[in-house]
Amino acid sequence: MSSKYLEMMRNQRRRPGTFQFTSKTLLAILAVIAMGGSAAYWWGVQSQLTDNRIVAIAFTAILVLAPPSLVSFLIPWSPAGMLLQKINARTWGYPVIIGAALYLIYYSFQIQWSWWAAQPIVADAGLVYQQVLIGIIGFIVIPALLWTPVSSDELVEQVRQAHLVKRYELQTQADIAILRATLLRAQEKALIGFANLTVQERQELAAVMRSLVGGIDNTLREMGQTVRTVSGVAVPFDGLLEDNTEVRDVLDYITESLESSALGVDDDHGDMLDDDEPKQPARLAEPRAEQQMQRGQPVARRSNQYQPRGEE
Amino acid sequence: MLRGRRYATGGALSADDMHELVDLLAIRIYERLGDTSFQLSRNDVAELVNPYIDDLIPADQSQVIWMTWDLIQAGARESQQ
Repeated sequence: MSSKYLEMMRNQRRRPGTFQFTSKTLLAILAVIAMGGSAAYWWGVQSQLTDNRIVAIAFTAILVLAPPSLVSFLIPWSPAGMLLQKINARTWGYPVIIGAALYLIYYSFQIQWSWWAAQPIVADAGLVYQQVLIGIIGFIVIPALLWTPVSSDELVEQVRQAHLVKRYELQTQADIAILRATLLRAQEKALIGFANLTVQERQELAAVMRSLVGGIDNTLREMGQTVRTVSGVAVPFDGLLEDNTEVRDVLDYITESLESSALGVDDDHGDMLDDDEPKQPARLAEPRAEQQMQRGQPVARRSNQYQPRGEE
Repeated sequence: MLRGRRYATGGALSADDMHELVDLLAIRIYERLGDTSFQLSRNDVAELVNPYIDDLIPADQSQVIWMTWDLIQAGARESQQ
Protein backbone atom coordinates (compact mmCIF):
# COMPACT_ATOMS: atom_id res chain seq x y z
CA MET A 1 0.00 0.00 0.00
CA SER A 2 1.47 3.38 -1.03
CA SER A 3 1.99 6.07 1.57
CA LYS A 4 1.64 9.76 0.72
CA TYR A 5 4.00 10.54 3.58
CA LEU A 6 6.78 8.34 2.21
CA GLU A 7 6.16 9.71 -1.27
CA MET A 8 6.60 13.23 0.12
CA MET A 9 9.91 12.21 1.73
CA ARG A 10 11.19 10.74 -1.55
CA ASN A 11 10.23 13.91 -3.42
CA GLN A 12 12.04 16.07 -0.87
CA ARG A 13 15.15 13.94 -1.22
CA ARG A 14 15.17 14.40 -4.98
CA ARG A 15 14.58 18.18 -4.88
CA PRO A 16 18.13 19.38 -4.04
CA GLY A 17 19.50 17.62 -7.10
CA THR A 18 17.32 19.55 -9.54
CA PHE A 19 18.95 22.50 -11.25
CA GLN A 20 17.33 25.88 -10.77
CA PHE A 21 18.19 28.83 -12.95
CA THR A 22 18.36 31.91 -10.73
CA SER A 23 19.64 35.46 -11.08
CA LYS A 24 22.82 34.28 -9.37
CA THR A 25 23.31 31.69 -12.14
CA LEU A 26 22.87 34.41 -14.73
CA LEU A 27 25.40 36.58 -12.90
CA ALA A 28 27.83 33.64 -12.85
CA ILE A 29 27.50 33.18 -16.62
CA LEU A 30 27.95 36.92 -17.12
CA ALA A 31 31.01 36.94 -14.84
CA VAL A 32 32.65 34.07 -16.74
CA ILE A 33 32.04 35.84 -20.06
CA ALA A 34 33.33 39.14 -18.61
CA MET A 35 36.48 37.47 -17.31
CA GLY A 36 37.04 35.85 -20.71
CA GLY A 37 36.70 39.31 -22.25
CA SER A 38 39.01 40.72 -19.60
CA ALA A 39 41.65 38.08 -20.42
CA ALA A 40 41.40 38.91 -24.15
CA TYR A 41 41.66 42.66 -23.50
CA TRP A 42 44.57 42.50 -21.05
CA TRP A 43 46.44 40.03 -23.24
CA GLY A 44 46.07 42.49 -26.11
CA VAL A 45 47.42 45.33 -23.99
CA GLN A 46 50.19 43.46 -22.13
CA SER A 47 51.47 41.70 -25.24
CA GLN A 48 51.92 45.16 -26.82
CA LEU A 49 53.82 46.42 -23.76
CA THR A 50 56.42 43.62 -23.85
CA ASP A 51 57.70 40.99 -26.28
CA ASN A 52 58.25 38.52 -23.44
CA ARG A 53 55.21 36.29 -23.66
CA ILE A 54 55.64 34.78 -20.18
CA VAL A 55 55.67 38.21 -18.54
CA ALA A 56 52.68 39.24 -20.63
CA ILE A 57 50.80 36.09 -19.59
CA ALA A 58 51.68 36.68 -15.92
CA PHE A 59 50.48 40.29 -16.01
CA THR A 60 47.34 39.29 -17.86
CA ALA A 61 46.57 36.68 -15.19
CA ILE A 62 47.18 39.23 -12.43
CA LEU A 63 44.94 41.84 -14.03
CA VAL A 64 42.17 39.34 -14.74
CA LEU A 65 42.13 37.68 -11.32
CA ALA A 66 43.53 40.09 -8.74
CA PRO A 67 41.17 43.12 -9.03
CA PRO A 68 37.92 41.11 -8.75
CA SER A 69 39.25 38.96 -5.90
CA LEU A 70 40.43 41.98 -3.87
CA VAL A 71 37.33 44.04 -4.63
CA SER A 72 35.15 41.09 -3.56
CA PHE A 73 36.43 41.70 -0.01
CA LEU A 74 35.25 45.31 -0.20
CA ILE A 75 31.76 44.75 -1.60
CA PRO A 76 30.16 41.89 0.36
CA TRP A 77 26.96 40.70 -1.23
CA SER A 78 25.29 38.80 1.59
CA PRO A 79 24.39 39.49 5.24
CA ALA A 80 27.07 36.99 6.33
CA GLY A 81 29.61 38.74 4.10
CA MET A 82 28.69 42.09 5.70
CA LEU A 83 29.28 40.60 9.15
CA LEU A 84 32.60 39.12 8.06
CA GLN A 85 33.68 42.46 6.58
CA LYS A 86 32.89 44.18 9.90
CA ILE A 87 35.05 41.64 11.73
CA ASN A 88 37.92 41.76 9.22
CA ALA A 89 37.91 45.56 9.16
CA ARG A 90 39.70 45.49 12.51
CA THR A 91 42.60 43.38 11.17
CA TRP A 92 45.85 44.71 9.65
CA GLY A 93 45.21 42.80 6.42
CA TYR A 94 42.12 44.81 5.60
CA PRO A 95 43.85 48.18 4.94
CA VAL A 96 46.35 46.29 2.75
CA ILE A 97 43.48 44.81 0.73
CA ILE A 98 41.86 48.26 0.39
CA GLY A 99 45.15 49.83 -0.78
CA ALA A 100 45.93 47.06 -3.28
CA ALA A 101 42.37 47.01 -4.65
CA LEU A 102 42.31 50.79 -5.09
CA TYR A 103 45.66 50.78 -6.88
CA LEU A 104 44.59 47.97 -9.23
CA ILE A 105 41.37 49.82 -10.05
CA TYR A 106 43.38 53.01 -10.67
CA TYR A 107 45.84 51.09 -12.90
CA SER A 108 43.00 49.45 -14.79
CA PHE A 109 41.31 52.83 -15.22
CA GLN A 110 44.47 54.51 -16.51
CA ILE A 111 45.34 51.79 -19.03
CA GLN A 112 41.77 51.53 -20.31
CA TRP A 113 41.49 55.31 -20.55
CA SER A 114 44.70 55.51 -22.60
CA TRP A 115 43.59 52.64 -24.80
CA TRP A 116 40.15 54.04 -25.52
CA ALA A 117 41.53 57.58 -25.97
CA ALA A 118 43.76 56.14 -28.71
CA GLN A 119 40.69 54.85 -30.56
CA PRO A 120 39.76 57.67 -32.96
CA ILE A 121 36.00 57.02 -33.13
CA VAL A 122 35.56 56.81 -29.34
CA ALA A 123 37.82 59.85 -28.77
CA ASP A 124 35.93 61.90 -31.37
CA ALA A 125 32.58 60.91 -29.89
CA GLY A 126 33.78 61.81 -26.37
CA LEU A 127 32.86 58.39 -25.01
CA VAL A 128 36.22 57.53 -23.42
CA TYR A 129 35.02 57.70 -19.78
CA GLN A 130 31.83 55.77 -20.55
CA GLN A 131 33.81 52.99 -22.25
CA VAL A 132 36.31 52.86 -19.38
CA LEU A 133 33.51 52.62 -16.80
CA ILE A 134 31.89 49.78 -18.74
CA GLY A 135 35.26 48.03 -18.76
CA ILE A 136 35.70 48.52 -14.98
CA ILE A 137 32.23 47.16 -14.28
CA GLY A 138 32.62 44.19 -16.61
CA PHE A 139 36.22 43.27 -15.77
CA ILE A 140 36.17 43.94 -12.03
CA VAL A 141 32.79 44.62 -10.40
CA ILE A 142 30.72 41.79 -11.89
CA PRO A 143 33.27 39.02 -11.18
CA ALA A 144 33.82 40.54 -7.71
CA LEU A 145 30.08 40.31 -6.96
CA LEU A 146 30.13 36.64 -7.82
CA TRP A 147 33.15 35.66 -5.81
CA THR A 148 32.89 34.98 -2.13
CA PRO A 149 36.10 35.71 -0.23
CA VAL A 150 35.72 32.63 1.99
CA SER A 151 33.76 29.41 2.00
CA SER A 152 30.74 29.02 4.26
CA ASP A 153 32.71 26.83 6.69
CA GLU A 154 35.50 29.38 6.98
CA LEU A 155 32.91 32.12 7.45
CA VAL A 156 31.22 30.21 10.26
CA GLU A 157 34.60 29.54 11.87
CA GLN A 158 35.67 33.21 11.67
CA VAL A 159 32.37 34.42 13.09
CA ARG A 160 32.58 31.77 15.82
CA GLN A 161 36.09 32.87 16.78
CA ALA A 162 35.08 36.54 16.88
CA HIS A 163 32.05 35.64 18.97
CA LEU A 164 34.22 33.57 21.33
CA VAL A 165 36.68 36.41 21.87
CA LYS A 166 33.83 38.86 22.48
CA ARG A 167 32.21 36.49 24.97
CA TYR A 168 35.46 36.02 26.89
CA GLU A 169 36.00 39.79 26.95
CA LEU A 170 32.49 40.42 28.30
CA GLN A 171 32.81 37.59 30.82
CA THR A 172 36.12 38.94 32.03
CA GLN A 173 34.70 42.44 32.36
CA ALA A 174 31.85 41.00 34.42
CA ASP A 175 34.34 39.08 36.57
CA ILE A 176 36.30 42.29 37.15
CA ALA A 177 33.10 44.12 38.15
CA ILE A 178 32.26 41.34 40.65
CA LEU A 179 35.82 41.39 41.99
CA ARG A 180 35.69 45.17 42.36
CA ALA A 181 32.41 44.95 44.29
CA THR A 182 33.90 42.20 46.48
CA LEU A 183 36.96 44.32 47.19
CA LEU A 184 34.80 47.33 48.10
CA ARG A 185 32.80 45.14 50.46
CA ALA A 186 36.02 43.81 51.93
CA GLN A 187 37.10 47.41 52.39
CA GLU A 188 33.96 48.23 54.40
CA LYS A 189 34.29 45.05 56.43
CA ALA A 190 37.94 45.78 57.01
CA LEU A 191 37.14 49.23 58.34
CA ILE A 192 34.65 47.72 60.79
CA GLY A 193 36.27 44.45 61.81
CA PHE A 194 39.99 45.08 61.50
CA ALA A 195 40.04 48.36 63.43
CA ASN A 196 41.78 46.71 66.34
CA LEU A 197 44.49 44.94 64.31
CA THR A 198 48.10 45.89 64.86
CA VAL A 199 50.04 47.71 62.14
CA GLN A 200 51.92 44.51 61.23
CA GLU A 201 48.67 42.57 60.98
CA ARG A 202 47.18 45.24 58.69
CA GLN A 203 50.26 45.14 56.45
CA GLU A 204 49.99 41.38 56.31
CA LEU A 205 46.30 41.61 55.38
CA ALA A 206 47.03 44.14 52.62
CA ALA A 207 49.74 41.86 51.21
CA VAL A 208 47.33 38.90 51.28
CA MET A 209 44.70 40.87 49.31
CA ARG A 210 47.27 41.95 46.71
CA SER A 211 48.55 38.40 46.28
CA LEU A 212 44.94 37.18 46.00
CA VAL A 213 44.27 39.49 43.05
CA GLY A 214 47.66 38.56 41.57
CA GLY A 215 46.69 34.90 41.84
CA ILE A 216 43.37 35.50 40.05
CA ASP A 217 45.28 37.39 37.35
CA ASN A 218 47.65 34.44 36.88
CA THR A 219 44.69 32.05 36.63
CA LEU A 220 43.09 34.26 33.96
CA ARG A 221 46.39 34.34 32.04
CA GLU A 222 46.62 30.54 32.15
CA MET A 223 42.99 30.30 30.98
CA GLY A 224 43.80 32.61 28.07
CA GLN A 225 46.79 30.46 27.09
CA THR A 226 44.67 27.29 27.27
CA VAL A 227 41.95 28.87 25.10
CA ARG A 228 44.64 29.95 22.62
CA THR A 229 46.10 26.43 22.51
CA VAL A 230 42.75 24.69 22.13
CA SER A 231 40.93 26.97 19.70
CA GLY A 232 43.63 29.26 18.30
CA VAL A 233 41.75 32.29 19.60
CA ALA A 234 43.88 34.95 21.27
CA VAL A 235 42.21 36.14 24.45
CA PRO A 236 43.63 39.35 25.94
CA PHE A 237 43.94 38.15 29.53
CA ASP A 238 47.54 39.17 30.17
CA GLY A 239 47.79 41.56 33.13
CA LEU A 240 44.06 42.08 33.01
CA LEU A 241 43.53 42.68 36.72
CA GLU A 242 46.89 43.98 37.82
CA ASP A 243 46.88 46.48 34.94
CA ASN A 244 43.23 47.40 35.51
CA THR A 245 43.27 50.92 36.97
CA GLU A 246 40.03 50.56 38.93
CA VAL A 247 41.08 47.32 40.60
CA ARG A 248 44.54 48.78 41.28
CA ASP A 249 42.97 51.93 42.79
CA VAL A 250 40.80 49.85 45.11
CA LEU A 251 43.79 47.73 46.15
CA ASP A 252 45.92 50.82 46.76
CA TYR A 253 43.13 52.33 48.82
CA ILE A 254 42.69 49.16 50.90
CA THR A 255 46.44 48.95 51.50
CA GLU A 256 46.55 52.61 52.44
CA SER A 257 43.51 52.26 54.75
CA LEU A 258 44.87 49.18 56.45
CA GLU A 259 48.39 50.47 56.89
CA SER A 260 47.33 53.96 57.93
CA SER A 261 47.61 54.50 61.65
CA ALA A 262 44.62 56.87 61.45
CA LEU A 263 42.28 54.01 60.41
CA GLY A 264 40.60 53.78 63.78
CA VAL A 265 39.99 57.52 63.92
CA ASP A 266 36.73 58.60 62.40
CA ASP A 267 36.60 62.20 61.23
CA ASP A 268 33.03 62.46 62.39
CA HIS A 269 33.96 60.98 65.74
CA GLY A 270 37.15 62.94 66.26
CA ASP A 271 35.60 65.02 69.02
CA MET A 272 35.15 61.87 71.08
CA LEU A 273 38.88 61.11 71.12
CA ASP A 274 40.58 60.89 74.42
CA ASP A 275 44.34 61.33 74.35
CA ASP A 276 44.74 58.83 77.14
CA GLU A 277 42.73 56.12 75.39
CA PRO A 278 43.69 56.06 71.68
CA LYS A 279 41.78 52.85 70.83
CA GLN A 280 38.47 53.97 72.32
CA PRO A 281 37.09 55.84 69.23
CA ALA A 282 37.55 52.75 67.07
CA ARG A 283 35.56 50.71 69.53
CA LEU A 284 32.87 53.41 69.68
CA ALA A 285 32.65 53.66 65.91
CA GLU A 286 32.38 49.93 65.50
CA PRO A 287 28.80 49.34 66.79
CA ARG A 288 27.48 52.32 64.83
CA ALA A 289 28.96 51.06 61.59
CA GLU A 290 27.71 47.55 62.26
CA GLN A 291 24.21 48.88 62.94
CA GLN A 292 24.30 50.74 59.61
CA MET A 293 25.44 47.60 57.81
CA GLN A 294 22.68 45.55 59.43
CA ARG A 295 20.08 48.12 58.36
CA GLY A 296 21.40 47.88 54.79
CA GLN A 297 22.74 51.45 54.88
CA PRO A 298 26.23 52.25 53.62
CA VAL A 299 28.81 52.92 56.26
CA ALA A 300 29.49 56.66 56.66
CA ARG A 301 32.20 57.68 54.22
CA ARG A 302 35.49 58.76 55.63
CA SER A 303 37.44 61.60 54.17
CA ASN A 304 40.03 59.22 52.70
CA GLN A 305 37.47 56.64 51.53
CA TYR A 306 37.81 55.18 48.03
CA GLN A 307 35.69 57.03 45.48
CA PRO A 308 34.79 54.94 42.42
CA ARG A 309 35.27 56.71 39.09
CA GLY A 310 32.15 58.50 37.90
CA GLU A 311 30.83 58.92 41.42
CA GLU A 312 33.15 61.76 42.19
CA MET B 1 -14.45 -9.58 16.24
CA LEU B 2 -14.12 -9.30 12.46
CA ARG B 3 -11.30 -7.04 11.17
CA GLY B 4 -11.23 -6.83 7.36
CA ARG B 5 -9.59 -4.54 4.82
CA ARG B 6 -12.68 -2.48 4.31
CA TYR B 7 -15.22 -3.43 6.92
CA ALA B 8 -14.90 -4.03 10.61
CA THR B 9 -17.21 -4.65 13.50
CA GLY B 10 -17.01 -3.49 17.09
CA GLY B 11 -16.06 0.11 16.30
CA ALA B 12 -12.55 -0.78 15.07
CA LEU B 13 -11.11 0.96 12.04
CA SER B 14 -10.65 -0.99 8.82
CA ALA B 15 -7.09 -1.59 7.66
CA ASP B 16 -7.39 0.96 4.83
CA ASP B 17 -8.81 3.63 7.10
CA MET B 18 -6.10 2.89 9.62
CA HIS B 19 -3.35 3.37 7.01
CA GLU B 20 -4.98 6.52 5.70
CA LEU B 21 -5.25 7.98 9.19
CA VAL B 22 -1.65 7.08 10.05
CA ASP B 23 -0.47 8.61 6.78
CA LEU B 24 -2.33 11.87 7.46
CA LEU B 25 -1.03 12.05 11.02
CA ALA B 26 2.56 11.49 9.90
CA ILE B 27 2.24 14.20 7.23
CA ARG B 28 0.74 16.59 9.77
CA ILE B 29 3.55 15.96 12.27
CA TYR B 30 6.22 16.43 9.58
CA GLU B 31 4.63 19.68 8.44
CA ARG B 32 4.73 20.99 11.99
CA LEU B 33 8.12 19.72 13.14
CA GLY B 34 10.12 19.09 9.96
CA ASP B 35 13.21 16.89 10.38
CA THR B 36 12.85 17.13 14.17
CA SER B 37 9.97 14.69 13.87
CA PHE B 38 12.50 11.92 13.08
CA GLN B 39 13.77 12.14 16.65
CA LEU B 40 10.38 11.72 18.31
CA SER B 41 9.92 8.77 20.64
CA ARG B 42 6.71 6.72 20.69
CA ASN B 43 5.59 8.60 23.79
CA ASP B 44 6.12 11.93 22.02
CA VAL B 45 4.10 10.69 19.04
CA ALA B 46 1.36 9.49 21.41
CA GLU B 47 1.21 12.92 23.03
CA LEU B 48 0.93 14.63 19.63
CA VAL B 49 -1.69 12.37 18.07
CA ASN B 50 -3.86 11.63 21.12
CA PRO B 51 -6.23 14.60 20.56
CA TYR B 52 -7.01 13.25 17.07
CA ILE B 53 -7.64 9.63 18.00
CA ASP B 54 -9.40 9.83 21.37
CA ASP B 55 -12.68 8.64 19.77
CA LEU B 56 -11.09 5.34 18.61
CA ILE B 57 -11.23 2.15 20.62
CA PRO B 58 -8.16 1.65 22.91
CA ALA B 59 -6.66 -1.11 20.73
CA ASP B 60 -6.80 1.14 17.64
CA GLN B 61 -5.40 4.10 19.54
CA SER B 62 -2.36 2.07 20.54
CA GLN B 63 -1.99 0.70 17.01
CA VAL B 64 -2.24 4.14 15.39
CA ILE B 65 0.49 5.50 17.68
CA TRP B 66 2.76 2.57 16.91
CA MET B 67 2.17 2.76 13.16
CA THR B 68 2.60 6.54 13.05
CA TRP B 69 5.94 6.30 14.85
CA ASP B 70 7.01 3.47 12.55
CA LEU B 71 6.04 5.46 9.46
CA ILE B 72 7.98 8.50 10.69
CA GLN B 73 11.05 6.29 11.19
CA ALA B 74 10.59 4.93 7.66
CA GLY B 75 10.44 8.54 6.46
CA ALA B 76 13.69 9.28 8.33
CA ARG B 77 15.39 6.38 6.56
CA GLU B 78 14.04 7.58 3.19
CA SER B 79 15.34 11.11 3.74
CA GLN B 80 18.79 9.84 4.81
CA GLN B 81 19.29 7.59 1.79
